[in-house]
Amino acid sequence: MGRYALRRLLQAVPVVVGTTLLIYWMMWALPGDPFAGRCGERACPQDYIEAMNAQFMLDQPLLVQYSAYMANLVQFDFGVTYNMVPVSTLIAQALPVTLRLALIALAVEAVVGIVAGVIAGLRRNGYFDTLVFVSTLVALSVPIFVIARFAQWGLGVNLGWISPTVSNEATWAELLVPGAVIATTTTAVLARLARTTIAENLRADYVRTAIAKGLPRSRVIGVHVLRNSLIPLITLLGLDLGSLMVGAVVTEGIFNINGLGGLVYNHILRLDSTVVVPVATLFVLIYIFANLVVDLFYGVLDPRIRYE
Amino acid sequence: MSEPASLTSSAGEAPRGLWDDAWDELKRRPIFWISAGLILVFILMAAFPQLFTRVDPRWADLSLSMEPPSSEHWFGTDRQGRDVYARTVYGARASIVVGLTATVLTTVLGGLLGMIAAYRGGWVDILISRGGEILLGLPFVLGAIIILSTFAGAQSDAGPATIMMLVIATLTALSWPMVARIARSAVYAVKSADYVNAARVLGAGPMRILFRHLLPNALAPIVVYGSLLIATFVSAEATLSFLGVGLRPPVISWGVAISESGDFIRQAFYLTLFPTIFLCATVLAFVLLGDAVRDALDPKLR
Amino acid sequence: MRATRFRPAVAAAAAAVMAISACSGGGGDEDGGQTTVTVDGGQPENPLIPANTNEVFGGDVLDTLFSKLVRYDPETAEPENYVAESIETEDNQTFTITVQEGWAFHDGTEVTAQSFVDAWNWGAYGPNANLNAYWFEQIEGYEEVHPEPEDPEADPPEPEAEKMSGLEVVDDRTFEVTLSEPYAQFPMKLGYTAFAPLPEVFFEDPEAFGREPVGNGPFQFASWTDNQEITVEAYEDFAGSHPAQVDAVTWRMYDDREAAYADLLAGNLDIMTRLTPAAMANEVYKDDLGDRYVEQEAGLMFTLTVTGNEEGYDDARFRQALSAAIDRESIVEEIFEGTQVPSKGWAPSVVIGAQKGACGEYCEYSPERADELLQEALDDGFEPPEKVQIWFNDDADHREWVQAVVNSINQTFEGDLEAVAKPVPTFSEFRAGINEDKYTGLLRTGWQMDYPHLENFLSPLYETGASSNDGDYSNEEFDQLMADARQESDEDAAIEMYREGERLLAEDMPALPIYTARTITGYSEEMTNVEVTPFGVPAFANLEK
Repeated sequence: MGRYALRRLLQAVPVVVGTTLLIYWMMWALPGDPFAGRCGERACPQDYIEAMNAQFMLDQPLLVQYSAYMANLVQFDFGVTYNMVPVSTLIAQALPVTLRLALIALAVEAVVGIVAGVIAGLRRNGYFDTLVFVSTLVALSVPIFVIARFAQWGLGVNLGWISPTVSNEATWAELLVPGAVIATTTTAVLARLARTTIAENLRADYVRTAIAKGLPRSRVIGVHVLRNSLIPLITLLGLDLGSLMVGAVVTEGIFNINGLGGLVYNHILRLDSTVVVPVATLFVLIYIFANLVVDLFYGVLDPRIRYE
Repeated sequence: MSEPASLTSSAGEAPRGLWDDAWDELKRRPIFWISAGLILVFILMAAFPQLFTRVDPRWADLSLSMEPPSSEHWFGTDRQGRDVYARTVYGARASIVVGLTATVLTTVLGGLLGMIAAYRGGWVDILISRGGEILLGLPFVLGAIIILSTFAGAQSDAGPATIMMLVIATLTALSWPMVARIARSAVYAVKSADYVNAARVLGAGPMRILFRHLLPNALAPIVVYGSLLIATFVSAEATLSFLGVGLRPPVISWGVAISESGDFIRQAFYLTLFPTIFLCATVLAFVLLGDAVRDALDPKLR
Repeated sequence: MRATRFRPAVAAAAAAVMAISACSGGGGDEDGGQTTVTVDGGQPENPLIPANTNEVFGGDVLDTLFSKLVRYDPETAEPENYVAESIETEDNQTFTITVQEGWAFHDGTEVTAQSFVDAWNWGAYGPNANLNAYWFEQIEGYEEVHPEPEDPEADPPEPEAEKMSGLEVVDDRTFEVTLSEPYAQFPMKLGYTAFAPLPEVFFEDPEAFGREPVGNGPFQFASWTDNQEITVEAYEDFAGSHPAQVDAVTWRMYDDREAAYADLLAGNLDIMTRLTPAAMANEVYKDDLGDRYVEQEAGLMFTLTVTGNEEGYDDARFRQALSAAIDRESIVEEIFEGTQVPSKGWAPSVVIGAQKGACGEYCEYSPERADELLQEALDDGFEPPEKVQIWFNDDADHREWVQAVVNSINQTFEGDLEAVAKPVPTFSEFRAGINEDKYTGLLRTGWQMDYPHLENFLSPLYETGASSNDGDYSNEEFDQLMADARQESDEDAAIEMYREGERLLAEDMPALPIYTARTITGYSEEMTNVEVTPFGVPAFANLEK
């Protein structure tokens, strides 16, 4: 297993290089000039545009830019944004906020999604099942910004239970509602998946065997069924971690949270690759790591799976 | 999930295949007929919106701006004074075409690649899995913004059809790895099962093993996920419009309608409500259908 | 949700004083004796250097930090001397400027004539590549420090000099400015941010200064957390006649303006400049805020500029027909809930020299007249474009009004002519596209005044080859009027020439005026005095809480 993990980590190297190149290329291909739109309604002075392009090497061929950029990145020199702010400062500021937000969302997904799905799966077609089904549909089909606006206006302005926006400190308590909003889609998917998997496993032979053996129902469900149902659920949760980190673009904007999502989004709009490339790479790294953990979990949950 | 499913059907000697069984099973379910009926209505709406309304969805009368629902305008009017009912009906086309096409492409592409990755293993698996990781690790909204602004922006003059195709391609490109993972793990669990080995020993080729023996195992989770994908795609379409990179006028779609009215939920809730209801109903129909098909496909449920 | 607001020039001066008494008790805020006003803002696009900041977020901050030679009068928007004791000229070409005694930078050093001359020379110097360098182009010797390449694609040549020959320090408090040609309105420009003085510490390390500027204004810099907030504090030893009334001002940065409005209602924000369309729809802001808002017509207007003289657009009657086909009143009433003003000319009414109805009948909605004009053009063999394309950037609140214009044109010409809205995703892409002449049809254009004068809405936009002449409009008569007016020392006579120039635009219709902005600024119950300038921003020094 140790060798397996090591091999996977080594495979991450080309993935990261591929990601940076891909994103760098895409940012480069974005239409518009990052500095041409900076002078309000008037055209920017040509020498300003040229000086800035030269400073950020945008006048060089793509591969020259990319290798110079990577050479700095490898030495942990992230450079400054087109607004002359050190990229490392921005990331250091936003990362903890995003992590807190993602953890809250992950917790909401895991707890609400799995519990609702499991109960619904155990009592299929019951009242609770229908309720879960309907809320799942609403959560899935109502776009996230509508849900976020509702939360902001309803809970924030009308009821006054929460502050409509998150303060600069972005404490755990403040992030609870935005985290829950971000979690809605995946919670819904998770609940559906949990319900299906549980229902399926309940009909499996080993359950029949266990019940025939005389094991109490609680043990059959609590140990056998749940354990066997966890694999797809954990896969989904692991996969979702990445999208949580930036799927938050919209929600972060609405609740004025200074996380990585908003940071990346704003810099895409400014055609500023200095922030987009390292943050996106960071996401991919986190994602790869989460995946590895999930894959290793398979082995724990299902002894039939062996790592070669 | 990993039980050696009934040998009779998978050995391919039974007179009836998987699909015939499934169809027999489906025919008997009322849920299937209800959801299929709903979907038919929406497809009709997408194909022939004129059947549902005679009002021109583009006709605008500013003096009617933001009127609440009335007998004249069942769903009210939007800011430009256009009929919301007509726009909702006409919006079905873009939304359903985008949601459905992207879902089909995603599940087919992702399912195939996932199964191949699990079955072949080795460098094929590495290539597909790691390649997918790049796309999946790149969070959805971020990836969509970059892809759409790169390609849609490159041709500011993009017509409605081009924009729709780009949105579909983007959704597919960013979502297939998820399906691939699900398919891969489903196949992974059974690929060394006895019945697969038996088939191999009996001389079945890789194609046959993939499609006759491994596909049925992967199908159920993919179909369930796929039916949910339609829902996420249709609402992702709205989110992309909200961010200014997805479908945009003159295209009429539920997503565009919801994103344009999202800021006005306080004054004119109905502007958001009606397209959302239509969207929910479509999603409901597809999810129910997905459930029914999944149950029918699962031999253990019979 | 994304919108960068630009405001090339803003003076931190009050105009149109609107006295407000929010709490009748008026006891004032007592939280620890410190009064901090929070205002909505955003991350500045550039380091905080006057010569290099031209957008609203950084500009608002800089205007509280720096006092200029001239400040714009609250009532009449006319310039009055502020840091300058006097600005004298005999020939409108050489100006002698005397700096008042007693002004100091926040680091304690004195504000001298040298502080201005050095700052302006630095701002104009080509290799420094400042966004506001063009503000100095009228000063003699600008070409030597800021040479333009002959071929726009080529690298700019090395400057021949480091300092403009037109700037000369006479003594500690006096300097002389010589222009390359007479320009009577020159002193009016001196209230713009680019003309701020700079302390010596700036030249030691401009980069560090950009993060922690040292000015001579009513407020001094306190802190800046990227993407979160910027705070300035009242400067105790301020020498000017308008010191800060509150202890500090904090700009909270918002990506989403609706969030700022929600914060205003929840009491987390004291002032929100420019309420959003959602807040204005059905006038909910009146229910939400009661009388806690200020309406102010601002020097900002929106036009649809016709691109060049391309085929299909080269008949003035056709352009006039398009203009007459637009129902500005209904658009303003329904899309903006009556909060904006339909334009009847090419300049807002707040500028000096503004005239009423320069556009005449062509800006009055009349489907019949529009049809008539189109018919006349068609009869003369004019071929209209297949579709009238209206291009706009879709990252700010333009979609609805552009769509309404499209609908208005379509319904006027029912079938004879079709207009379509063409969104471009971002402003930077739109701007780059305009520079490359990528679009044919009508362009959504806007102009925020640099200084409150009619001239500012004419020559930069419509003079042949002018920097912001996006439609490449060219009319010799117009150019001549502008040139003559600049040299005219009698102000009334000059204004009359500008007005004549504006009326000429109605005949050629190079751009269709649509609406003039009025800003609505909302504020919390805590505020006791909020005034808004014609630039659309609060008069920060006059805020009371």
